[in-house]
Amino acid sequence: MKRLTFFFSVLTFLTFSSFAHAALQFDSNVQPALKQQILEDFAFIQSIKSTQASPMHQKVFGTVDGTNYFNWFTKRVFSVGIDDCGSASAVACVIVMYANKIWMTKNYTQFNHPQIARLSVIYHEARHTEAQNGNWSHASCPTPYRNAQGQDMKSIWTGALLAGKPACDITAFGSYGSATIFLKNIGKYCTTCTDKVKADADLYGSDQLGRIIDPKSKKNMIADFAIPYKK
Amino acid sequence: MKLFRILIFVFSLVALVLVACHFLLKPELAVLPGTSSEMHSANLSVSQGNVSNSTSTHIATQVPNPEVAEKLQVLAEIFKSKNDNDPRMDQVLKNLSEPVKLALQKQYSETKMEMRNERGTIAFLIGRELAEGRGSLTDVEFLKNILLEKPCLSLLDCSKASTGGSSEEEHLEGIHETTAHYPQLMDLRYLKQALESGNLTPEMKASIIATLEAARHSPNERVVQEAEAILNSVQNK
Ligand SMILES: [Zn+2]
Repeated sequence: MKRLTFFFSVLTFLTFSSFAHAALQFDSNVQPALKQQILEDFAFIQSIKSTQASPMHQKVFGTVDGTNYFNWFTKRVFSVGIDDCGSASAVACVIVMYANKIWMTKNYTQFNHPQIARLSVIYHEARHTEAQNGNWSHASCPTPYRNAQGQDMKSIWTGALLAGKPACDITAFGSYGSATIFLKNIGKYCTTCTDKVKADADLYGSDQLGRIIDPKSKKNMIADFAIPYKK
Repeated sequence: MKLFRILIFVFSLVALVLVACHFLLKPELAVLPGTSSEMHSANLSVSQGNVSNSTSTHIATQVPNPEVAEKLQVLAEIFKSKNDNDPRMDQVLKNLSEPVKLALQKQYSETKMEMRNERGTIAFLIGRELAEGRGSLTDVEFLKNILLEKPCLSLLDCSKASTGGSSEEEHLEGIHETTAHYPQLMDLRYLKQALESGNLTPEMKASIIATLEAARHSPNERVVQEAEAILNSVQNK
């Protein structure tokens, strides 16, 4: 009987200690360093706590809480594979014919992004796995497409104008919008985050917000981030 | 034969002493970046017990300030872990003394351009001190120099523009662009917060405004735009 109790105790420990690992299946060709970085980044996201969230955040993710973020992600993404995602500078992508799967590139560890920026990329992609919502396909950016300073939005890599490219959203709840909501709420309400993580979340959130082209959606989002929901 | 063995032994001993002298006279080979004898003179104080055994007998004036060494060690550990949420970021790397800030500024200049998160973290640490009323004119000068850097053109090699142009690149490249300008954007964020804090001396305020004016002529277009926006918002208040 003692042996049986010991066996079940060990089994229970192993089950819980490898929760993040078990919840996400990694293809066998995912490099150990990449897999480790993803697991460490999820360990960070799971540690997030707060007593507040904006109403839009409440709607998409619930409260600002690591368990909510992790459950939200693992309800959509079951496995992680390796791909070049069709570009030398891609970090991650979703291939529609493979449901509930996210594909990562080596740039996830090669590029020197801050931690919350890395994570925002995979949360953006996780939103694209929602087949029931048409994978939240992007809208074409307007022509002309200019920033707040009145200058044309263009690729820093190629100089190509973003006008007319499928790199914008109308809705506040697509991939750009949900990543913005995620980042702006962490920036504002996370109580377990360092000043740097909060500053990063706010900074990268502003970038994602810039891709929301519908003035009404954008205005609602900015207003939303100022209204905290209290637990 | 016996004499020959003695000669070999003596020769080996001399060689060993020469090798040991070589390393003892080059302490930078054995210590962390930023804690070597190359460090800014303001970081140095006469102190023992803070270097590895191989250098502990070295000239005392080249031994770094223990506080500086401790903070740089913590920062090195955080960088290695890639965990931006390490609580020591707020516990240990805050309320920084002048020697620590100077050591960080030196470390920044020794960090590869492509290490955007590391360079941006140092800009953040100095910027936070400034915004919270613990900045100096030297810190503002450091932040000004960051704003005047050439832009980073691609994340794997800042000197070379990326080629390509697929729709995937446009899809999330805003994040890459933010990272490419990350040290500058962190820098500007805290210059703005410092101006808004209302706890600057007139001299510090003038220095920050002058820095933003200088940033209007930065080779980095994004810096020019952001500096203009901050100056406009300050002038409109
Ligand atoms: Zn997308």
